[in-house]
Amino acid sequence: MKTREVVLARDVGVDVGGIERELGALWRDASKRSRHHGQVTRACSWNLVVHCADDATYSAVRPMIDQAVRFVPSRTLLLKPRPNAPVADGKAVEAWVTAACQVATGGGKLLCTEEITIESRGPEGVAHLPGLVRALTVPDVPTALLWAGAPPTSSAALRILLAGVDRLVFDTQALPEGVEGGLAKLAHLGGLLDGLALADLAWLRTASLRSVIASLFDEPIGSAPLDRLKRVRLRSTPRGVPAAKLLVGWLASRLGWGTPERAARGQLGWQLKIGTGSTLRIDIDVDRVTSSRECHLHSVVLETAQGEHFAVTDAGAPALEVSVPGLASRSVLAHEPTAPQALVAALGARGRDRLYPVALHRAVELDR
Amino acid sequence: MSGHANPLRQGLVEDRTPEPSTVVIFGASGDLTKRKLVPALFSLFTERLLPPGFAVVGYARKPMTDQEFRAELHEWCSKFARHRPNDEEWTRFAECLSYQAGDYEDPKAYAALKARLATIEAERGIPGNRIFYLSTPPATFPIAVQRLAEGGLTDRRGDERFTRVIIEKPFGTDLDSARALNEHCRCYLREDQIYRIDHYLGKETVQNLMVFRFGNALFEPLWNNRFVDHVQITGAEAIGIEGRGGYFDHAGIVRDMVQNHLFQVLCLTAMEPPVSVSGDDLRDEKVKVLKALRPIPDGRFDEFVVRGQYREGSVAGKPVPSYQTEAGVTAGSATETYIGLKLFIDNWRWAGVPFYLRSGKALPKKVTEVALVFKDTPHRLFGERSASEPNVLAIRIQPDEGISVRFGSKVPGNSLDIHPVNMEFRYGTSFGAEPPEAYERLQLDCLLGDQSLYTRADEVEASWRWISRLHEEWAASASNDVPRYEAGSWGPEEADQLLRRSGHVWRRP
Repeated sequence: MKTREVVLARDVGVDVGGIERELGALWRDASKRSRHHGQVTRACSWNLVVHCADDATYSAVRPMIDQAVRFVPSRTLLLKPRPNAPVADGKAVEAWVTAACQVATGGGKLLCTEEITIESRGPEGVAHLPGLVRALTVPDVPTALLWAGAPPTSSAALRILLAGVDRLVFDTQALPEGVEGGLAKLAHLGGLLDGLALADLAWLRTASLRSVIASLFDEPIGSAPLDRLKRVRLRSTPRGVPAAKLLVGWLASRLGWGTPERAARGQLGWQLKIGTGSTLRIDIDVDRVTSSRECHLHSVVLETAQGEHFAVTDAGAPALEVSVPGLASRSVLAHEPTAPQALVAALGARGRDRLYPVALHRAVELDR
Repeated sequence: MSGHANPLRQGLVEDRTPEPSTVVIFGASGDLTKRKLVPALFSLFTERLLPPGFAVVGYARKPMTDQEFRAELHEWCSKFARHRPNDEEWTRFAECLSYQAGDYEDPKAYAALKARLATIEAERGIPGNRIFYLSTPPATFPIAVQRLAEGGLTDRRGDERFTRVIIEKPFGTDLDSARALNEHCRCYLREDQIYRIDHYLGKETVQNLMVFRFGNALFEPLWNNRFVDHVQITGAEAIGIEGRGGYFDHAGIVRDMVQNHLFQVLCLTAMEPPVSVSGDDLRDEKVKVLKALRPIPDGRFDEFVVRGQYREGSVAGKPVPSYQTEAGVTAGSATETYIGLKLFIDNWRWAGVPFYLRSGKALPKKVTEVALVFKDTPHRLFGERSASEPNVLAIRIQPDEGISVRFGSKVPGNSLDIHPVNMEFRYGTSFGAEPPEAYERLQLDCLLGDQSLYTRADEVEASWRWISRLHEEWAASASNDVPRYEAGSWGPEEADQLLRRSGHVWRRP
């Protein structure tokens, strides 16, 4: 859908106590001006609360949000908690509003969304944030909390922010490299609140890869070789390790594999029993691996006891090289979502992907 | 279906990926193939909804090489596919495309097609699953179905491999011909191999009608004769017949739009909740609606039916010639380009509620919508200041798909004045993402063996049973006089009178 953007206000400073009033005035002005653009239609299908731990994250995430809300109209609350910043001019909390509308090509009605940035300084200011979020969310639409940057670990502040949140969106790819147990902390977080859905951008990026892996076992080959697996090897960059573990978790959950045991302390290698009682070896290799894919995975090879190899290998994004026994290798297109597209997916039905919690649970076993 | 057998498929977005198969398009050099069918398959391909072992074989009388066929389709996909092809995508998709020239009657041509399919299937790892899409003139349907079976290209017996036949509209021209075609098809195919297509059912917003009704608790309690005063269904076209005079003059708007598209919309609007939306459950409910349509009483035809024919005028600032002067139209033709109908559905839910249907060519704009007009409040609490306009729930199917609700609201001020306002939901702008084309959904469903959005034999016959009555009446009428309306207007004056007699007026969508 082709649209052009009409910005009604960008980063207009407003009194924190009167944000709704200021927005109301903005929309009344927009309606008066609408005779030039058509009728104003404010749409809101989500409250999107974005936690930006630092200014660099804020700058990086804002263009992504601007793109995504064109497809998922939302009231966006951008939170900038700065617990160590000094309170300036006696203001522990400051707020700015931005309102923009999309006009469909050929005119017609305006579809408008709004964005509120709240910066809080010092411990006192940060303590105001949960209350402000509760006051500013639009009623009767769900709320998603996007934790931009490194995923959250359990903390009191996070618990407060999570109150009233329906979906927590994060990116396990942003886990600090080499940190063991990061997935376990996330799984714990998912269990903090009943009904809280976890949407992992790293998981969503692997959707097309998972689909290609699944296609290896469609007819005419069928799924019988999955019962004869002897070894699964994944190659990824260090940044792709969480995604690699999630892929293993996915395979384990779909194929009913047993609990993995680490082959050697500190190594990314495991052994486990599969349904037939035989032993399966799993390895994630990160040495000298490059990948053109956003998920940072290079290849996944499934090998049977009979020496059959089923492989999916990065062939320069978006292409993947696919090889299965008895057929010539072929290249398939497997597009990965851009950052805004991944966020849109996280706010859609795919963000409530029933495969993810199970895959995460099984992936956590790899860290034990 | 492989998606269920493969444990890794379960829960994936593409968990409905079909088995390796070949789609053979009869009428491959035609407009529908170029504008809709292959662009839709290309979009499915780019969204990875087609299996790795997949092939498209174009079949038509026109001699053409594979390369020429691919080049032609590249041009059309670039124009019409929802997802425009880049070089890499097209190269991969083009590998799936082949062309076979052949006649629709000659058994030798079918033998050659069979041999060609065997070669392609061996090359591409396809185990013999085939879909034959009959996008040809209706007169060729019977012979094509017969020759396919005689040539061993389709198999009526149960088999590990599937063979299915998609038959484009029109499926018959009246009740007798539809029955005959059904019987003929059943000689060579099982019902579960026959896919009678009506592309309206593939439209997202038509399917959304079901979601809107049965996926929300808010509306269904109001969806009956206690609250609904009447229902209006409009299928308006801004264009005239634009070079299709030869076809249209024999068909008319009733066969072209009402028997299929508008009756499908009517069924989805009026039907009871199905047990499920798959298999035959949905189609069972649609058939019940068609069976409950009240026959037009003898001698009272004009109280229920108005037809019209456009004369010269202008639509959207462009002159439109009179229908009578269009190429291919018989001099003095009485073919209707407009129809207005007043229907009753004699069942518990809709007893006494008129359903007004209208469809026409050269109307002011292209629009398809369903509007439920609600009864007045039981007591006018605000007297003269009460909203004079009834509440309306309008479901726009095309274009600008969406739903609007009209209700009364107090005008700001110190007096109590009530003014109607509209609350709108627009499908496109609320989700951003573009919905798939109807032919994408329907071809994918056929590949997956899902017939729920295709029409069943008894459904086709039930709709023709009601519609054929119109043509019989017109044929028996001594008068060949069809009311005229100006191109660019909303139809003949008689259509307004049709509603006025019951105190109603057509909406201006």
